[in-house]
Amino acid sequence: MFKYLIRRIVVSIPVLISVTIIIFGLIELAPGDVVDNFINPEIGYSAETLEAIRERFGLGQPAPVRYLKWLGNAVQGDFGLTYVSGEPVLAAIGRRLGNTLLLMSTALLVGTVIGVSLGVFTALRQYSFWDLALTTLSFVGISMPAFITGILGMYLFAIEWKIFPSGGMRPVQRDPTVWDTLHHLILPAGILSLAYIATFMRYTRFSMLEVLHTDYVRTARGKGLHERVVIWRHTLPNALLPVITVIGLSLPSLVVGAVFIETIFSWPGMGTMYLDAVNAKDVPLIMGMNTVIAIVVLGANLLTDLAYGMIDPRIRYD
Amino acid sequence: MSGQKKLWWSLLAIALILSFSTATVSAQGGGTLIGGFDVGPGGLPQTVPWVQTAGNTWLSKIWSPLVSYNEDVSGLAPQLAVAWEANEDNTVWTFTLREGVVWHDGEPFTAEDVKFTFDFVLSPGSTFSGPPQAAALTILGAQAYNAGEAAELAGVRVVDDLTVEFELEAPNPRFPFKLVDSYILPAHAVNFAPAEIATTDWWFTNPVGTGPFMHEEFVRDQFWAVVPNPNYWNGAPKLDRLINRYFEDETAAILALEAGEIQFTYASGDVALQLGEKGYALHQGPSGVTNYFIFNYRNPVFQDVRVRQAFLYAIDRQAIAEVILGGTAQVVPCLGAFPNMWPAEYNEYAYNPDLARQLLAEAGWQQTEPIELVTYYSSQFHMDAMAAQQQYLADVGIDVVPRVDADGYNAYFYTGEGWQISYRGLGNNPGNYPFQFYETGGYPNAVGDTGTLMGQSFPELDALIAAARQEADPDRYTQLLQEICAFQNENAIEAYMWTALRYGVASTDLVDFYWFPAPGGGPYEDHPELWAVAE
Amino acid sequence: MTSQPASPTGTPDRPTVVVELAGSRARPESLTRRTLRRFLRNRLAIVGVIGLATMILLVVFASQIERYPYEQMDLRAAKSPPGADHWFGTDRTGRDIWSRTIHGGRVSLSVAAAATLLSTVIGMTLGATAGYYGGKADWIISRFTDIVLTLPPIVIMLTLASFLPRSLVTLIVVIGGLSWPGTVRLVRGQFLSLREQEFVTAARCLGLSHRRIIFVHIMPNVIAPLVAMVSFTVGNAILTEAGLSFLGLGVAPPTPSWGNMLEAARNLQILRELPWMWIPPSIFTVLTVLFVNFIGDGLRDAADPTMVL
Repeated sequence: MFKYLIRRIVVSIPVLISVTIIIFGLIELAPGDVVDNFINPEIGYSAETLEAIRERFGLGQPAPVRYLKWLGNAVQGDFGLTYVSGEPVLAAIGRRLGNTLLLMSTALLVGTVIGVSLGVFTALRQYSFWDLALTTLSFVGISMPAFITGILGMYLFAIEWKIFPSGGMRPVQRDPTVWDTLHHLILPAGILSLAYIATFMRYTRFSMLEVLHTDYVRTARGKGLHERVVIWRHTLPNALLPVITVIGLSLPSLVVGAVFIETIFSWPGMGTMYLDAVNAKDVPLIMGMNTVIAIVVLGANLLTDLAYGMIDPRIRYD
Repeated sequence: MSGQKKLWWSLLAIALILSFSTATVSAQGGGTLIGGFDVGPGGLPQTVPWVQTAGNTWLSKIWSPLVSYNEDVSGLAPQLAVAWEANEDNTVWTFTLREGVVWHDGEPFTAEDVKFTFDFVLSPGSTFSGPPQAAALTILGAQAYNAGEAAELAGVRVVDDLTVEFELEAPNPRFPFKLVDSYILPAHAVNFAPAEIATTDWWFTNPVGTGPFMHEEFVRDQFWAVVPNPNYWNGAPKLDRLINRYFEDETAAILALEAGEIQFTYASGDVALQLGEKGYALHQGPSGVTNYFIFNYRNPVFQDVRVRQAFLYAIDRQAIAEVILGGTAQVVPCLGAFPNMWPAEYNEYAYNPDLARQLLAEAGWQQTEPIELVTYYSSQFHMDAMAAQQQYLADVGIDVVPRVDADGYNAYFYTGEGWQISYRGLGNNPGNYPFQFYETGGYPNAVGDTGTLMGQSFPELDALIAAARQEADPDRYTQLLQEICAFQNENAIEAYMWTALRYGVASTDLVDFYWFPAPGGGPYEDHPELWAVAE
Repeated sequence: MTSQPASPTGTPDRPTVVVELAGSRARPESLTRRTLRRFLRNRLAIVGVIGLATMILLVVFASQIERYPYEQMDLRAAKSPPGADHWFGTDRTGRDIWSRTIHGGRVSLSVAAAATLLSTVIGMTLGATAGYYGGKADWIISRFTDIVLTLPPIVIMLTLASFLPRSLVTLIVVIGGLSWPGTVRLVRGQFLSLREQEFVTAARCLGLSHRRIIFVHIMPNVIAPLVAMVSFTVGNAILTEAGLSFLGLGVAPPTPSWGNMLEAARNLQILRELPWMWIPPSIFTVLTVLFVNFIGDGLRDAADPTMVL
């Protein structure tokens, strides 16, 4: 296992480098550059002003040279300055990463706990009223774009009932307390967790049904074990494998963020920063963020693979 | 189940307690105005003067230019300068500065600060760019100084403590209009190099300006709070605090307004009218932006005037403006967004699909594949308008397909390549008319010999523009703008649609609050020192 | 999927009591409950089939059923609420929402079906190969999947939008081509676990071919999580289509799709005052996903050897 771990980590390096090459290439191929961000099409710029804005970003060198320069600095931990705000890339990411982690981990945690519980619940009552109702609700939740659930949620809780603030991370009138942060967090995190609940519930339900019908569960029951033991000790752990995969696939969202919820709740996170960076073709920022995201994706997949081995000791890697 | 119920009730209880705890706090600061001042078409919040392309509504609360627009952008208003006049041939402009102005740190403001500002931003290696450049680079010797070919900037001269002179490379009777977003910097307090203009955090950590408000707290991505400048030349502001909250988009700001967390934001027409009905105070004004189709004459089909006129006759612009745009837009005869730029008589191109079909038939219109109609607009307002335009054109046999390209648009639009027809907007007012769009050689990098974006020269327009650029007499200048309009209208060199109104929405407890949709956010005469929030 | 995997413990007979045990509680189910459950089980799958078939018919015969051409504007009737003239009301340019909804299904359903099929086939093939054979195959496929999972879809879409032609095929290839890594991870995980179980070992010892083991013995056990994955992919494809079309990759206006009709709800006025513009496409999307899921649920039961139908 240890050897496997080392091998995985070592091979991550070429994977990571190829990812950065691909992304750099894709941005290069996409139309436009950062300069466009500084051109408001409705203002009739003179040719000289356009030229000055272009010069400010000095994009003259060929792409491979710029990539190698970036890579050379990046391995030394220097990710450069963002084009748009002019601050160091790592500082910009650091500022947003904490916000996103707070929001997304709350949502993921709530989603996992409630989703898996409801999944077990519906599996044990397959085709019951509750199963049908929760299934329907979860698909409504998933098929509705976030801008509809997000805005309607905000409408009820922030505008009609005024239970939560409509957005932001803190009050602007005074220094924030822990309570303030929590107060601002609940609504966006709650809305985000709906999608997780729906997803995890479905996977858990299907997987539970599968395992409930296996022979060893039958054997366990045949031995006269208490139903609770059968469910919690024998069924659930085995049913969790695909659920773990799906949770593993959701882990990167902890750093990727959620664009729409961040937008309407004015929660300055990675999602909106990434979208803004892509729209502005802010290459240093995109590259920096992607490096962070790629590391997390690779790490999450590694963790998932390790978790398989823990849940099912028969799984071996060679 | 009961466990779950309990959980919900306890969550609700916690939430209620939390909401009470904040409700009591928001009642204090009676004179605090919180607004979304950077919401709207200007784009992302911009915090740095001299590279800004928008955001002037907020920047002008801290910084002041020599002159700004007046309250409805029809003329200029004094700011740090109280008077300005040109010599006979409009090559030397003399500005008389306001007496007794002090910087936020108490130091006196003098002509030296003005000279320092232009020396600083124009110095070699400076990273300034954006619209303020257009003015600075026309100063005598500015380009040579910026390129490192001259030891000093020849064109800006201090006459005495309160008088400063600008000498220009070429006559410009409207030079002061170009200075509205050129904020003056303090010679004694700037502690960074010109190369750091775009990257230093001085602008939002300890800026020293002469504006009505002084920096208090800036939290990136969240808000910027400022407090009154007790020494403001027009009297200390009444507000206790003014806060600009940042929003990623308009919807978020409007929801915050409805939740009572902010008192002002920009809103697009449809939503603004809806809020007006709910009792919010609407501040409306002309956008000064004309929406139109620009044709690429490099495709010979657009060289036929009958084809271009057919576009105008085919589309019921009046119906679109009234129904889809809900009366928030006015049909225009030419690029001019304001009626004083229109001639007494012009062709209205009233909706006439039969005439459009006839003109197309005469021109021998043949289409084998759809023509792409590219735009950078992505709002529902423009999407609906384009859906209607597409149908009206299809009705007379013109097959266009709208495409939204919010990201790459600027990269190819200004080269004249990669587009056929574009639905776009262009800001204009009598003080700032985008002549370069119509002038031969206006965009030297555009493909083709003419150097125009359209790929076509218009000698008549060249002559009118040359005359207008020189014309100092306001009446005669307006006359020339009207002649340009008449030419654009008659020849349908572009298909002009309408100009929209723009809206700011405020809560009704604001007193003496003023907002106007000025280009790039102004600055304009909005008298923030008078703003207050009713108890 | 009717063939039964070899039973790990080799019990030849399957006592009917298993159904009760597998149900929910150890205590025996009452007759009424059991009947209801069986009825529901059959009914839901049938509802799924009939529902989806109706949806497909509506969409295929949209041009015959429509009451107005979907692109026809009528500014005088703009923003009409649902009524006798316009069953589902009209949008801000007076186009008929009923027509747009049934026509919109053409794009949405075909993209969703084809993209899901594409992504599931790629995902299952790669996932099964990696999980079953392990070793080098797993190593290569997994690292490749890692790379694709790491690439930000928005950057890929933006870049592709400037190269690829605007067509349905482009939409399908891009959506299908970006959504398979999840399936690979899921199928691979299941295979990793299943290939070590006794019944697979037994099958190997009996000298059965790999292909037979993969398709006959292991695959049926992967159906359950796959069904969940498929219904999510369908829903996702419908929503993603709108984003791609917006970037210029997909269908061009005025062609409607459920995705681009839903996008209109980003506008606050439409969201609040013209709900008939976005509720019909939402309902159709939800129903599609729900029907697919009902059918999948039925399929799962059919593939489950221990369920007595």
